[in-house]
Amino acid sequence: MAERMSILLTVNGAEVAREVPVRMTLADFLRHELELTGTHLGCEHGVCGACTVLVDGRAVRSCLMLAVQADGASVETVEGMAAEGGRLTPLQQAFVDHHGLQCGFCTPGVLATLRELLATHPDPSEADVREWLSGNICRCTGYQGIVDAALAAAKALRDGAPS
Amino acid sequence: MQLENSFDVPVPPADAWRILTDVERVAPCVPGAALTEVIDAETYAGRMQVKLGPVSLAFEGKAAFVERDDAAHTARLSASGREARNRGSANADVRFALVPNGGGTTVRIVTDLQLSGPVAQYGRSQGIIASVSEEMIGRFAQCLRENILANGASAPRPAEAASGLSIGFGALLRLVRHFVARLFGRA
Amino acid sequence: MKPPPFSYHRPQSISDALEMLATLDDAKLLAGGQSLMPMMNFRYVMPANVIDINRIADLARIEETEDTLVIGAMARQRDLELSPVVRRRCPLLYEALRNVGHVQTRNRGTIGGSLAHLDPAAELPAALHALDATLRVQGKRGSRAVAMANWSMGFMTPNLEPDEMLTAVVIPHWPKGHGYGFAEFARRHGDFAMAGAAALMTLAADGTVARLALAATGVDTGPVRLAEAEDMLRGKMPDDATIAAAAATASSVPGLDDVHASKEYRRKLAVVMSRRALMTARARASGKEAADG
Repeated sequence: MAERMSILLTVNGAEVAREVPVRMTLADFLRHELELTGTHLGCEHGVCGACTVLVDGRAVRSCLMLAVQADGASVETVEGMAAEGGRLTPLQQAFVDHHGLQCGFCTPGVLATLRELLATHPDPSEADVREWLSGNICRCTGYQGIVDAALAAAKALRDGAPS
Repeated sequence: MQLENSFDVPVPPADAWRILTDVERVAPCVPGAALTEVIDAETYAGRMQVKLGPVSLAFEGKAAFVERDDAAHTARLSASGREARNRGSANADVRFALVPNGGGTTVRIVTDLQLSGPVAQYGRSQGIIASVSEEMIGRFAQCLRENILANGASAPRPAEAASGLSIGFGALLRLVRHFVARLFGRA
Repeated sequence: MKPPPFSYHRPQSISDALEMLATLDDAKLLAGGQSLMPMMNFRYVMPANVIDINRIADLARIEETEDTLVIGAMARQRDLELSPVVRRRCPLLYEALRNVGHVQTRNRGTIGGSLAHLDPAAELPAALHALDATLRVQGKRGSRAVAMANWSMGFMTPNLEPDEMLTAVVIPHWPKGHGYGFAEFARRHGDFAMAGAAALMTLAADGTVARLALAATGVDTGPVRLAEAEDMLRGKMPDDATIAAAAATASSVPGLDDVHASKEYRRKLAVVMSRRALMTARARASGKEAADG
């Protein structure tokens, strides 16, 4: 019926109302409509993970969702992770401390994935972390720094650091 | 890639040859094919729709007999087509040979198929293209046996060949049978 | 790498969706999108109409009856993976799900989508084939039940008319304590299987195989039951040699040739994966493996 559609959703805590082409992916919506270019495009067919964002708390491939499908949903991107005043979350801080990124291209997708992991698994094992990361391709780090950061962040959160 | 297929028909090679080389007559039996122009005695233009799972491909192009031996019942057909929605192209070099088989004929087909562009990536596997072509040749043979060879009358041109668009193979077979049977007043 | 233009539809009920399927030309159902969206992004598939069924709540239920598990077609793979009911009644499905893509794809991907897409190397169709699942299909003209054995009509072509949709998967229970195993080989965890096998087994009091099901993926245009292997093992003691001999019959599968693996290699993998799945199933059937925590 429609070539364009009005959608209303929450992005990083703020309400967003837009009219979009129905064929626009969520990734392109975030990047072009909302200028939240932290979410990256690597493959556009769901295998690299660079486009991963959180939709209703779940890590999903934004290149494989249509923007219109996010109507009524709550979307979180990397831009929404830092707290008031730019204070980094324990996860982001752990990335800084443990060299969890180099070029940073995969990082927003990795952070989205790990955010869901840490929200659902307060005490993940290294195997858990690696299992979850298997859906995010990182060409730079060899993953070790990312794994260390994830485990450190999990511990920090368990010790009461505000998320 | 190389594809090898064969099928049997219940008439002797000379009769089978006559029918099979009458392209206008047998084209309606090729699943998804539509003959659009007879360019000359050896060359034909047409469209071919093929469904590889959820992907519907529509090729437009030409086929020509580059070799033909009416005595030995062998022929070589060269076909090429471009995909209608810019998804690549296909080139096929097809060799036919008819050999006697009891009172009937075995038709042997060896196809050298070259795909380029996106269509070459999709289909992902020789096995899949081979199984789709096997299915198509099976249906062609069935159509031939049931209609053209059964009553010997010339087959009227159907409105459009069964294209297989969004229909499962089983359902398509039923559709082809029903459709062609209707042409012969047998539905 | 962007989808071409299409008309978008969002039915709120199964009957709305069926009405759309019956009346719209060149339409595709959009379920989890993890298979359809890549094809649309590549422009391999260019439907004129996309029918988004993600808002139909009725399609996502998981229901346990005395004899079966009824899973709505839109149940997310991740929800099934986390479901205690699935883990308890159908642990083979749980184990197969662990091999399907990644958490991020399972968060959206659905069981129905995997079945309707029917990739030759998908894990769920093979597991459901071993489970002898029945698929509920609905069209405007009525509904029907399709046995898994009759589901694949050829390469990525399920037994679905253009105006029909899969609405539920019905899985008959195997008895408590049954053995199960899923083994696949892929280059990376989460990739489609080059070949994989799903096994289910129960043992009689004398230790012989009472009931057995074995299915393979990645070796033909659709999932296959390895009936020869099943026949060889039924009624026999499943010692290592007998299992190996049964698994060896898997080499008769057609195999698939592509850039990832040759036909011959896949046949070899089918044998190895069958053996591993059977060994695991045996261990579990005889209680020798601790229940998964």
